[in-house]
Amino acid sequence: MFVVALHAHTAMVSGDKVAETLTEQSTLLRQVLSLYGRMSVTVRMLRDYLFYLSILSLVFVPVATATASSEVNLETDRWWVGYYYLGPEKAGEQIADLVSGYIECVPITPPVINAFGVEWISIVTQYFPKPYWVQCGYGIYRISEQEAVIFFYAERMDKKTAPKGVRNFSEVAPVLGYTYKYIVCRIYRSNDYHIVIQKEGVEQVWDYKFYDLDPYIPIDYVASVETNHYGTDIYVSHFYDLRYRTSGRRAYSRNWGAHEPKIETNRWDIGYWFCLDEGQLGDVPDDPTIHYQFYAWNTLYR
Amino acid sequence: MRSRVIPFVAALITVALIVSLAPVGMRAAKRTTIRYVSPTEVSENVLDNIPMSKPPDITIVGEEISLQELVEIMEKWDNVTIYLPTQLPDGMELTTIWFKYGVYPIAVVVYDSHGERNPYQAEFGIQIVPTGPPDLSLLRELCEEYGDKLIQVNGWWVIIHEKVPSSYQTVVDVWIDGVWYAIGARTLTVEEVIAIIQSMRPVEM
Repeated sequence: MFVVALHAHTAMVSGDKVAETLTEQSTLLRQVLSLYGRMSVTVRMLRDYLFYLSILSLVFVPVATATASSEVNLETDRWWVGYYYLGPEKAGEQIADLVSGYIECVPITPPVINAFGVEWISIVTQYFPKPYWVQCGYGIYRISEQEAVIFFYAERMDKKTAPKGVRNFSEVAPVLGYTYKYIVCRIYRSNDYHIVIQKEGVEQVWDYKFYDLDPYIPIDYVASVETNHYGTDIYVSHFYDLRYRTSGRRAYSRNWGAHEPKIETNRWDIGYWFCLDEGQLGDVPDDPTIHYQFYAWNTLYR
Repeated sequence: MRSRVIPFVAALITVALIVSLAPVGMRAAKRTTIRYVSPTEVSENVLDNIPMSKPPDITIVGEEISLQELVEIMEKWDNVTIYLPTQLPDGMELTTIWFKYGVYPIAVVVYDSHGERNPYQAEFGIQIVPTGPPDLSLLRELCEEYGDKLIQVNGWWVIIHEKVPSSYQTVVDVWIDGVWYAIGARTLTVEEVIAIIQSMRPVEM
């Protein structure tokens, strides 16, 4: 800038004064350099500080830009942590068409408005060409800085209701600290589904029916915590006694004999902070549900 | 030397503080006391705004396997023979197979002419699940309700869906020997897909 100003100034003076002006300017330059040499240590440190700050900023600006470009899309981005049922390798006599499980109601609070956290069990009826399912669970949806809606819900996504799907909310809200049993059941030999939610597995709080699903045959089960924002505090989520049941004359109810614990997201570029553990029930070692439960939490705040 | 190190460290600390501001902001948000309200206390619009949850798709829950492995899995399951197309449009070939054990073994066979392995992006795909023979009375009911066509190809029951997801041109369900084949084609017409179904033969390894 100094040189540019010098040139501009030079251009303004007339031809016969050029030599005189140049002499004046060289004197000025000498004075500036002299001042620079006599700069105090503090000023020099301040100068170096600003120099390093600008260099380091140059390094971190692209990182910050990359972070900004990986902003969460609340409509499409998801983080899941849960259990995926692993069925047998050989066909059995009967096919299960009910899935159930207990889920503790904890404050899975999303960090931003319009973000949600839900905990659910699902029957999957198709993966391709489009995924379809029947699901029930509870969730928390942030509506303002100070408020969030807490709800039970049942939803279906199938050929009839896609792409929006149908979701219904119970008038009764879940109570934090209680455990609820969630049941998704295909009504015997039909294409209708029954959703049941029971407080502590005893007191019925909600039941709901979906009719005429297409496709309607259960092909997979999933139990999971899900959020559309990585910063959602999933607290210490706890699912247990995950079961499936067959219908018909020789009906039986069984725990998920095989399952795959998974932490998943469609946004690995942002990452995840979830942990998952089968957990221990130290005081009741003979409890048969011990292997069919999981705890999940995140480390972002802890 | 010292006079250079101190400004550098100070600048580094400044940048580190700025970078660490985001998580601090989140922690502060978390500490805010939240008032939980029930669905009856908010308007329907608020509830409608909640995005649908969804189970992860097959590329997230499944793994890629070979055709040989798929044939062995289906044989072990219940001596199931799988049928795959023997004639495909020019350049289209099998790119991968996604698989997961669920209530049944679930496979999604992916075909594409540009090597696409994601079934939801590829030109053509078939979900294979040995669910047993279909309940024909229920199928007829559903077809009547949704306006779908129920026809037979090679003696196999085929449903041609009238309403298809936006990214697909043709969606068809086929049942062959108690195995459900759900077919999705992004670029092929119904006639082309029927021709592919006619070419389906048992896979022999």
